Amino acid sequence: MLNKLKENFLFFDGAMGTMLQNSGLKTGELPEELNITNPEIIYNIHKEYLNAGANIITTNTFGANKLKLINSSYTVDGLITAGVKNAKKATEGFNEKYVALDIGPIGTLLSPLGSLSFEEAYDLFKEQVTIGVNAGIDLILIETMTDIYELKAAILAAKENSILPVFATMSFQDKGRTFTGNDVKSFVFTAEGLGVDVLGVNCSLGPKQLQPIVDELLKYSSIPIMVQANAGLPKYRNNTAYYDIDPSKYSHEINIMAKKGVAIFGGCCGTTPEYIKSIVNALDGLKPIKIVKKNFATAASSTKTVFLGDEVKIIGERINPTGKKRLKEALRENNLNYIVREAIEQEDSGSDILDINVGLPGIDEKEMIKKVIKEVQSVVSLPLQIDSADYEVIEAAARIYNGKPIINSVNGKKESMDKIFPIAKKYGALVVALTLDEEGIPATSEKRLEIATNIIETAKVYGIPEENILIDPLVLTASAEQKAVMETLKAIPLIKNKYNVKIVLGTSNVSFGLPKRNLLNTTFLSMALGFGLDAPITDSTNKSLMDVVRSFKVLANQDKDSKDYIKTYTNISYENNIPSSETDLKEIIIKGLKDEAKNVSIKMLEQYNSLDIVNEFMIPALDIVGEKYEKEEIFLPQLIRSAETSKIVFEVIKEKSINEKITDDKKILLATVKGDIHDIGKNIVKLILENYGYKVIDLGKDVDIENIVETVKKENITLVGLSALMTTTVKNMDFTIQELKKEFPRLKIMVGGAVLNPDYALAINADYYSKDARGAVDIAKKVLELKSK
Amino acid sequence: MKVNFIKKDLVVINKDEALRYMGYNSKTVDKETTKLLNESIAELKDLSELKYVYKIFDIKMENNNISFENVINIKSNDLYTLFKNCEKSAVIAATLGFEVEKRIRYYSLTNLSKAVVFDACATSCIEALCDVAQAEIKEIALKEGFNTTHRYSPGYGDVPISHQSEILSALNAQKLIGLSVLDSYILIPRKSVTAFIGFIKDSKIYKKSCIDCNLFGNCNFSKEGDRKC
Repeated sequence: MLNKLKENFLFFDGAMGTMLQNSGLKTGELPEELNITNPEIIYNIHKEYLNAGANIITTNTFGANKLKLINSSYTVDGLITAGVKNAKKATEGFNEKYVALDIGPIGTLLSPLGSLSFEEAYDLFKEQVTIGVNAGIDLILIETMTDIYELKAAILAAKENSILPVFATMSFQDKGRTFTGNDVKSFVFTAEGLGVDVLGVNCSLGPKQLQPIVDELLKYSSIPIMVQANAGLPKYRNNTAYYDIDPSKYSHEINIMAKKGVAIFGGCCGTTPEYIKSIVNALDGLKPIKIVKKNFATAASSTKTVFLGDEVKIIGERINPTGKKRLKEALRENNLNYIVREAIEQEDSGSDILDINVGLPGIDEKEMIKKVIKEVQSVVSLPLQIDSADYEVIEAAARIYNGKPIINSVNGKKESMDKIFPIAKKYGALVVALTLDEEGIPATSEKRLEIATNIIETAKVYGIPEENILIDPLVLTASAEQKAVMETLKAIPLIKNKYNVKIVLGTSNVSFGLPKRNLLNTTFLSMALGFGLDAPITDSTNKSLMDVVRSFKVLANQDKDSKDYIKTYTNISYENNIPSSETDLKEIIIKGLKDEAKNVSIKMLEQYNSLDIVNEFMIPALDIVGEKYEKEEIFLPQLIRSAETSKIVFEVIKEKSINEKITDDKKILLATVKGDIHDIGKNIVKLILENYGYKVIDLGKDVDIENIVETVKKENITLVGLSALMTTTVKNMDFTIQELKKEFPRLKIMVGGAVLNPDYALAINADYYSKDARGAVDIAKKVLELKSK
Repeated sequence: MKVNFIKKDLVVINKDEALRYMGYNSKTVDKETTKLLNESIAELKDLSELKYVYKIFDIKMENNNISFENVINIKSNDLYTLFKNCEKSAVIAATLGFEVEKRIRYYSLTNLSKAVVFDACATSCIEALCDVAQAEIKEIALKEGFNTTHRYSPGYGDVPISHQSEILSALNAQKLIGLSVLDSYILIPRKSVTAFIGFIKDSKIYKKSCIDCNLFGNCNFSKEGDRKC
């Protein structure tokens, strides 16, 4: 069938739903049940489409997954097997007609947007695929997807459980994004990377409105494109929708698409056999345009694609525990919020891609990197670079990553390539390739080219194109190997002249062991950029490094009309804002002057010791703020602002007195219970507790009971705070408390959240109820102070 | 069934309402909060994708059970009472879209004071969007010789919140406006609403009363003596 595609257009059928509605199906009824209850009607619809000229008919199994069938008396197996049977029966007597297993969205959202895990989604799709394959389908059509993450689970399920062709389409709104914000480019590069045979667009819009989206698909895709448009846009008459264009207008637009390069057509909502017949006729005599391979070097999240090579891109290096005390601490404490904030800071300061490395002795790196990637991807839109020395960690991360990742790294050793290339191929990842091999890091640029050549050619054997390789020619430190620095740089043009690969380089090692490192780093960075470095792996929060990059982009004609440069540097003075030093720290906290807090506290540390600042300024100020809040002189946003200000002061003090003990280790565990994703309230409680010197272990939202139990045990916790905002999730709070009390009879538990009250808290066996964050502080004082006495 | 993508100018966020959600009473608002409020409203205007879908059903009522053409079936005293003289009901789902959801998550991690203000403004915004939808539905009702009741959502009174999934599937809301629901019946994006609006053969105007609200007896506004919400 795929061979036929090279020569001819392929035609899918049109809408199933429209045909069923026309024959009287009601909203709310499950159309898949008709496969068993009324096979005749389904058979007839298939037959009509085949007669109209469709080569491929799709089974009536769009929503046949375990989750959607939860209230049905039929099983997934029953409905899919019957659906395939109906379709196959309809193709009897025809030549070269194929049956596609239709797979639609699950109907609920995957975590982190929703609560279904990637693995659960995979299992649901796997069940559908396996049944379809056993029933004798010819190909798999994954369609109407609006979330790339869900699409990825479906593609993996299809590819790992069948050898059949996989077609994948998504539904975009008129701005070229899906409801969840996914864009066309990210879809193309992710799906192509995962190895689908055909990709395309269906539903949501008519063929005319789809034209710009089709243009984008064609611009970036190196595989055949399919389009299944609606019969125009919905109009309304007497409480029912109808679509506004007829078969001849429809096929007119399809004809335009065919001439642009689309090769596979079918219909979606509102289309009928007449539409299919009309497009088959309209393309009579035309042949599909040959597809050109595009060779872009791209990394993608689900909402953003980064093209390497057009201009310098920054790979942010900060999420790597090597030499970072705070990050190590955060990883050990499961403090994902800290890591996410590091990610946000890098995004805001100009990183284009973020490196993620969580390797640390004593933590489960595989589980941790999965958690970190999910959390970071829930708020940061940048593509990520998976960085680990352990290939199992890399595989686990590449699997659950949403989009097209970069893998860091492979090297010229045979063992490394044997392990990494299959993973890179399977998940469509870019790979950072270090120019070292069994003999170590070579001394010359020529030898670096040799290793690069070996890596690139070996990758091709695995089916990895050269544009997916990012060569890192490895920087050595100038203090130890001064001669080698230029060899690294000279290797850049050598490699780029021979291959269409991009160059990455970790630039800050060069200065190791020498004074004024930043000076060497910036000079080296500008040299490397001059030699053709495409993407430094560096720290975008370092202003002088970013100054080099921004000015380089002007001089290299990458920042057109110096737009970004002018925007960044106009009206910015280089002197630090000098704060009004008269301002009292107490006043600053009470008034919530976040911008002033840092500088004033640095100044205060010259005169006072840390403990005095905490006890004589911070705590009294917070008490005043608390009183004002009680008296309704100030309100929640102001209370929080003061707390945030106080936290800034705290951070400064902690930094300056890293070895001085300013807090005792009174730990409190906080979590929003399983099923609930509301966390603003819990985060407020955390902030205020931290203000009062408590060490808060925050497990986040939607937290599994086992996770809470384990952490209580591991961290030796005596006070737990649980939050729930829904009547439906309060029952999970109840379960959590039951489990905790069973394991730790002496543990104290406080609860809060909109639907709770003191009576209910008592009923679910909580020790304390607090209506707000101030109350939580009082409870903490009572429980933990008592304990220390 | 009708799907609407709404122009943002039609929806006006009520600042006083947003402030009340944050606990402010009639007292003056500080400068910094006012600034955050204005910023949030501007961001919402930029980020939100205002969408709703509704469908008008014939309803049948028997023994506290309300049947929406047998597609949705609800057992509820409270809704039964409200719909006593109703022959039809609009079922509506509305949302501000995913970008608002993402921004709330972002602020919840990076800037809590902004998070609280932004969240309150978004709540006010979804209510305002529902008002627009309701006005459109009311016009249809009037044309057909009906008046409308106020909006009534799953979770109010004794209407189980578990009906969310039925409503979304009856309206095909995931496909049409990108709205879905978690196991815990939280709508995603969170700033979304589903509701029933009864078509009533009666000229009397139905005002929403506190008794109909799921926060009845536990409401901060009424505790403060402010009967409006």
